[in-house]
Amino acid sequence: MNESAHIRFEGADLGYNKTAVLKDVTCRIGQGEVIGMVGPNGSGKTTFLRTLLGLVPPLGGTVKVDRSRRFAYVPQLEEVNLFWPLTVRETVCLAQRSKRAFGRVSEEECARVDNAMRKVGISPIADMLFRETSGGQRQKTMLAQALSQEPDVLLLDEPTRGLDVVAERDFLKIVEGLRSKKLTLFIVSHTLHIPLNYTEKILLFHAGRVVEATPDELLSTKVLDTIYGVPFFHHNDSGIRWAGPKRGGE
Amino acid sequence: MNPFSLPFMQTALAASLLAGTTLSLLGTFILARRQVFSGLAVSQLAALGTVVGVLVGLHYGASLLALAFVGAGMFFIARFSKIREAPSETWVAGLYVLGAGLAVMVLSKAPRGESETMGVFFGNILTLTNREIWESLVMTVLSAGILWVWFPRWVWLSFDPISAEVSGLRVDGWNLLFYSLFAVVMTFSIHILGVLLAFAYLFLPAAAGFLGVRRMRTLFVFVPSAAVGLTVAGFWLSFRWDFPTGPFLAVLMAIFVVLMRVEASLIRKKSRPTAVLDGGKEGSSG
Repeated sequence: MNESAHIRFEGADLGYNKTAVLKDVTCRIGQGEVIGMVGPNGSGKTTFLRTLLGLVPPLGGTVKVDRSRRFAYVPQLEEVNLFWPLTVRETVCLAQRSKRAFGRVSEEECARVDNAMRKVGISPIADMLFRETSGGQRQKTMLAQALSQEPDVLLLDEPTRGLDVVAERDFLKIVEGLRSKKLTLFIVSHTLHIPLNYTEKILLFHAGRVVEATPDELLSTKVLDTIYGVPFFHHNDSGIRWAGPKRGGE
Repeated sequence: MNPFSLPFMQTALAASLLAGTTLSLLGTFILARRQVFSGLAVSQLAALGTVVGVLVGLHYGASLLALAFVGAGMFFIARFSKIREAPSETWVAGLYVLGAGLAVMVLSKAPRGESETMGVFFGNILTLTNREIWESLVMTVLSAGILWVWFPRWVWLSFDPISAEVSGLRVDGWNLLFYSLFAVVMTFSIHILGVLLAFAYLFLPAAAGFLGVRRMRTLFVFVPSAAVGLTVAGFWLSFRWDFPTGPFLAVLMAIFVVLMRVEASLIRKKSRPTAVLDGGKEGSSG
């Protein structure tokens, strides 16, 4: 058990309108941990995240989250509105400019925006229209927006969905570079190699329950077969872990 | 004869410029939120409230009644949109039909039914008085002020509301403020301009802006400028060609959107780069 946990779920029932989606959730997450969230569609990942963020109250049990921490979120790209003719820089700045009346930002906040853009490598495309950039560039822009808020907890929701393999590799390289003792990182992904290779703890969502596991535990057991209801292959090649559903009939 | 030298034209022009500019600014956000259809349903509810109010002999009371109808309708949409068994448009469409149908039914019982129907739905802006100018001015100052002070916040809320909420913005509260402002503006605008013209101002200048403008600042200069320019041109031409001003303005705005669409596609065609796989012609001149 993590004694320095700043996020604690103890016997918590989570759901909406008195209907529990997840029951008896118990987990502790400490500062600097990188957490993968794995489970089929509708298994309660979003409910867990919304409760963690305080957007939905728990139906029972205890959920303790240190609200003095700063949270930031990188959405799935389909959730973002592409109508506005915002440049990449304007998009990154939105979070800072929304804080105060008239969109005033301090020099320090401007520097944060510049740093975040530099960190994810989008400074050269700062004046491009966000809606005219590639999927990978958009995802980096949204990550820069989140980082510019200097969060303590960062949530990445399906961060590589829709990206080609090179864009995915580039993005994950940046995510890997974010690991620090300060930043707690949650990664929701249906692409199993991401939680298997880029996180140190995995929350498995299945049949209304949440189970903690390490990436190696996930590979060494039949837990994925149980969660997804189909046989899975597991593979560990020179430290790179792979898992996926077997082809039909195998 | 200069139509703008006529006092009734001056009054109508001033009220239309103020209400039209306000609607076009708000409409830019409504359009970005993809809530055009909701705007139409709300317009019909405001019309229904106005009709009922006028029928029972109210003036400002009619606007308050319209505001109550709009508020109830928006609450209904927000509440029922969460039901997953049917798309949210179902409830919006239902409200639109209910509002429009009931308004016509109520008007059929009015002593001057047909002329009042024309007034509510298509507007009769040439009969406006100084009172409508003042109403429009208050509406413009209130809306422009609220949008200007928290401009980046309104953009973020429509760009990516989940991230905004996670970062600590009270999305429900800000949305309540926005939609309350929208309800007030729509209610008074329907009373001043009629359903058709209010709806045209709400979406058409904004649609033209989204089609033709590639920078945020330019967008928020272009949209109200288009509303102003089209209003002045519409008043002038409708007077010259002897057309009813409200419907003429609405048609002019619709034509403007089509022209912006054509212009945008022409520019896109010109600036489209040659594909690298298309014979490798790109950059070959160098």
